[in-house]
Amino acid sequence: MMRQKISIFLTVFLLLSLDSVATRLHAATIQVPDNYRTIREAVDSASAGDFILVNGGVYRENVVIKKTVVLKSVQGPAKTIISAAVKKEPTVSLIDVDGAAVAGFTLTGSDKAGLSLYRTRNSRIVGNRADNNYNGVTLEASEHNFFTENTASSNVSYGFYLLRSHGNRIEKNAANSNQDQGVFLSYSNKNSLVNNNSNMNTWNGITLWDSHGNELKDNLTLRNAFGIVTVDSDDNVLDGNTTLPNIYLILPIVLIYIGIISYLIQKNTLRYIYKV
Amino acid sequence: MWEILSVFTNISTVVASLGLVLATSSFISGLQLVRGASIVELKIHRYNGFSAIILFMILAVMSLVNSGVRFWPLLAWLTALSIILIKLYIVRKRKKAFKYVSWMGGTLILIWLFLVYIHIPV
Repeated sequence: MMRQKISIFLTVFLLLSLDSVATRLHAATIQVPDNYRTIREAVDSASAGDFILVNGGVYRENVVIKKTVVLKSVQGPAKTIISAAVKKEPTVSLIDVDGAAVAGFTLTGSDKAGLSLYRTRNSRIVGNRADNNYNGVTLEASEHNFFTENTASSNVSYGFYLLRSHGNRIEKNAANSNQDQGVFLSYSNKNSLVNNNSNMNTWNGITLWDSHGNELKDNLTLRNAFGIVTVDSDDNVLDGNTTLPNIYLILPIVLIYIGIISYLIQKNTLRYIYKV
Repeated sequence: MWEILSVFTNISTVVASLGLVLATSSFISGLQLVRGASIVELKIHRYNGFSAIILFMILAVMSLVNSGVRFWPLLAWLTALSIILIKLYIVRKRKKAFKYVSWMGGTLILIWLFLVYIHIPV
């Protein structure tokens, strides 16, 4: 009986391992525009686990990802631009995905968001530029995603907007010069914001709104109306952040003061030299 | 404190700051010169003024090299340069417009304030 149980266990284990290996072996690499003309076609045709490599160019389309794929640019965000064809939709959306990745794109031109994650988990968003949209990056009901080296700047509203999203890690990103706020967490708990820049936004650098247990560490918030603002939020850890709201306005005044002192020193020195 | 001082690790901020200091000294001595000539004021005005113009040129070249030659920035730099040249022309020729020279000097201070503000790194 015991031997039979062990045998069944080993068989199930072996089958699962084979299935995993088979999935990895079947992971294909799809090239855009070589294999498919648009990114959307490539995504629709891809299977879970596939790599989609996108060559440089401007792609006017809205991309919706609903499966575990890796979408990566070959030449980086400066040369690979996805511009929203339908402005009412996000430029790139991840919906109900676990473990996808988007790397190295400029995502622009949307009246909703450059990049939108909805009910997305364990995905990696690396080295993208979500600039000049309504929001740069939005997360809704999304958990345990990792964002690094992205920019979400010059957007009409927020750079990063997290709504009811928990346990995400946002590290080494920039959310500058947005017309409302740099990073806005709304009803979002246990997220980590580490080493980000959120500067020169019209209102707050970082806002926590009814959000609890978040970690804000070593972020830089300069020249915003307010640096870091927490509203109805508890148990958040704020450590090593630099918040200097508009302190650099003092610098020109100090320089003028130094200029006046410099004038007086020069005047007295030259008077002494010319004996006048 | 280090965060405030760290802005001076940026070379364009240093150049713009020095320019504002020199332009301020030049402006005050210029106002004194309008009231009456003095060798001391003249030396201060010219030395500080021309140093500030050289720094302005350096800043303009650095900006255009780093960010590329684009229409609006180029137009802004040329406009500021033309204000400097018009001010020099009025002072040299001493024509009717000379009475406005202190206003021109004030405009140059405002230009330097703007230059300092936009060159503070974020």
